[in-house]
Amino acid sequence: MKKWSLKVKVGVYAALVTVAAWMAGAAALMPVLYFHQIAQLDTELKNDADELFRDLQNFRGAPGDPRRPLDAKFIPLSLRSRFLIVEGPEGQTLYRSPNLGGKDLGSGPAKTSTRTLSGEACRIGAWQEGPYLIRIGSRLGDIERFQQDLRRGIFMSLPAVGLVVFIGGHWLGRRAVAPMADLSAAAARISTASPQARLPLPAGDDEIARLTEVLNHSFDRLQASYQSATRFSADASHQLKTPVAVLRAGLDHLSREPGLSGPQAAEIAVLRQQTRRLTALIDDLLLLAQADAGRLTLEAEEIDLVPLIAAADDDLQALASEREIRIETELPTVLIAKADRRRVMLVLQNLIENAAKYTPDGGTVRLQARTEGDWAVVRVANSGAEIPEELREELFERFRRGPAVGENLRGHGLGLNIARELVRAHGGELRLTRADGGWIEFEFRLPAKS
Amino acid sequence: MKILLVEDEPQLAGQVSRALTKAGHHVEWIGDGPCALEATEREEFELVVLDVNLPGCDGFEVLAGIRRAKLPARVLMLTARSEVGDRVAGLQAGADDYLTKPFAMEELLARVDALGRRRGDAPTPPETLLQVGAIRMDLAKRRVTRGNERVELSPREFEVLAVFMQEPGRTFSRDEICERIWEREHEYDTRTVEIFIMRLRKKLDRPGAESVIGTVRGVGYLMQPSR
Repeated sequence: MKKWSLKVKVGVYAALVTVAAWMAGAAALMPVLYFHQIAQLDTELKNDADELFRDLQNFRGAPGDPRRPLDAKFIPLSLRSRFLIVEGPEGQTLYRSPNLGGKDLGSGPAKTSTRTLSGEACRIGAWQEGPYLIRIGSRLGDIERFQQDLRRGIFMSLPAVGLVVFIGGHWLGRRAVAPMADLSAAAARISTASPQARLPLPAGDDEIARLTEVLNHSFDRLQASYQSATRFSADASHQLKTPVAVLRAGLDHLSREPGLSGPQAAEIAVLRQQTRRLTALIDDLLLLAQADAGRLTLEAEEIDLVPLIAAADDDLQALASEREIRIETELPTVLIAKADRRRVMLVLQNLIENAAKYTPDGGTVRLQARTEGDWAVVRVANSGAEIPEELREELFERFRRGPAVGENLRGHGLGLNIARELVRAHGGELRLTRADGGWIEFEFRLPAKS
Repeated sequence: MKILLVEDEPQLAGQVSRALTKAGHHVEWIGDGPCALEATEREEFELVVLDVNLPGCDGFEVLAGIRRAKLPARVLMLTARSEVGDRVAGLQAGADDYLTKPFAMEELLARVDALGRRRGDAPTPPETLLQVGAIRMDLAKRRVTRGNERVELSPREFEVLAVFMQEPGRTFSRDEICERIWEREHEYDTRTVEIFIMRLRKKLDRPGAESVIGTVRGVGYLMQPSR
């Protein structure tokens, strides 16, 4: 039921409530009708009895002796369908209607009651007047049939009533939530790409309008803090890079001074290299800040990944040339992906740097790429010690460095996190697909088409 | 060349200005946006070296002002690399070239020279056929020949050689080569540059002859043009 939309819920609940009310109403109505009909029948029985009393006492040709049995001819036609017993002053039976058979109509005067006579519910009344006691009864079949028909009618109308109310409720619900649908469509359009967008204020001053206003105020506050955060990252970029640029320019200048000794020149080269590391770190932090703010901009176009992977392979060959690492490559001739060339190169560089770093001497690094369905899939694998299950996701955390093969490995522990953010910005995914049996494999996939 | 340098960081401005003056240019330095706009209206500059982040108004506004006034000055923008948007916006707004901070001073001087040569002409598309001595390089077809024989180069070897062949006679430090090829610093890059240069020498040098790629001790490498 949780999955139903609000309008369906309104419809269903309205229908259920109506059906329940309908049944409760029927439950109250039916006994009332029943007692009304019984009362009516009682009146009829009394009228019949009175008519017979009149006939017995006042009618011309009335029997003179109240002790003599009555002839069937004397009983009015209208009473022939009733059960009838007429008793005399000493309780002797003067008449017994033939439809009674052996049945007994009970005893006691001036009273009506419901009794079952040979399996049939009957209403029986007894009245005393003068010397005569008249017991008169009638079957309740008609009333029971009416009750049954009524019950059946009510039950059969339930689905129709439920359906009508459901449709009505659904319609009402839709009308009530229509402004909500507009709101959610408008809210969906508000993103980091268009943070200045706002929800349209509906006409009128109802709950929806107030909700819209409250939401818009929240968006204002969010936009303000978002803007100051992004401005901070843009400012930080410049503020951090300018001093680095000063350092860099100063070192460039120094390096061209005449008469530098070898060690001095080497020292300057090291410092210059450090300014480049610093720049890379600033770039990484800004890239992550942008990714977090959802405004990592890509210049994605359909490109062939193979030259990029070949270049990464080339780097890897150079990296491995001084160590005993074997490199295996399995590349297709073309591998098209919709991607930002510079960003993908960064992902590849981070992965091969990682692979080379964590491969023990005598180990293997394997680069594979191929198309799988709608994806361009690249795998970078290396031989290496198993990574415990619980540490595998941690590899992608920021400032986290895996247990290295050698000590004092450089790196600031952002590489895999950045690679994952970049791949995700493309709509792809980077995962650790294997980390046991002496084999570590990372796989990233990029959409093959736009 | 008469150059207007718009940069709010005095240290960096001093260094750039010194380097440009030493290279024979006449440099005027201005520290904020509005004054820079005034200066371009007052005097005619051949080149404006323009920082993006400026007090008063940012570099894009200055650039827009220069383009609105239809001034003949060429504009070289200095941006922060991570802001890809800066780069795109800068080129769309009519900058002639851009350089990301921090930059190598040689790179700045080379770009300034290139913009000086382009002065008055329509920007020429970069050469795709390069030749230094007996070595020819086709950038479009990614093919290298020495004399009549084809030389097979790996992707990175090709890129390293292209850096030298595009500016023969210029000395490149290892860092600069790294910046050109890997863009972003990588733990391995300066060492791998040496390896790729070694491999290039092995493929291109003739036994007994001087190496195609020369070493400038303590500075870097270069390819002599007249060889």
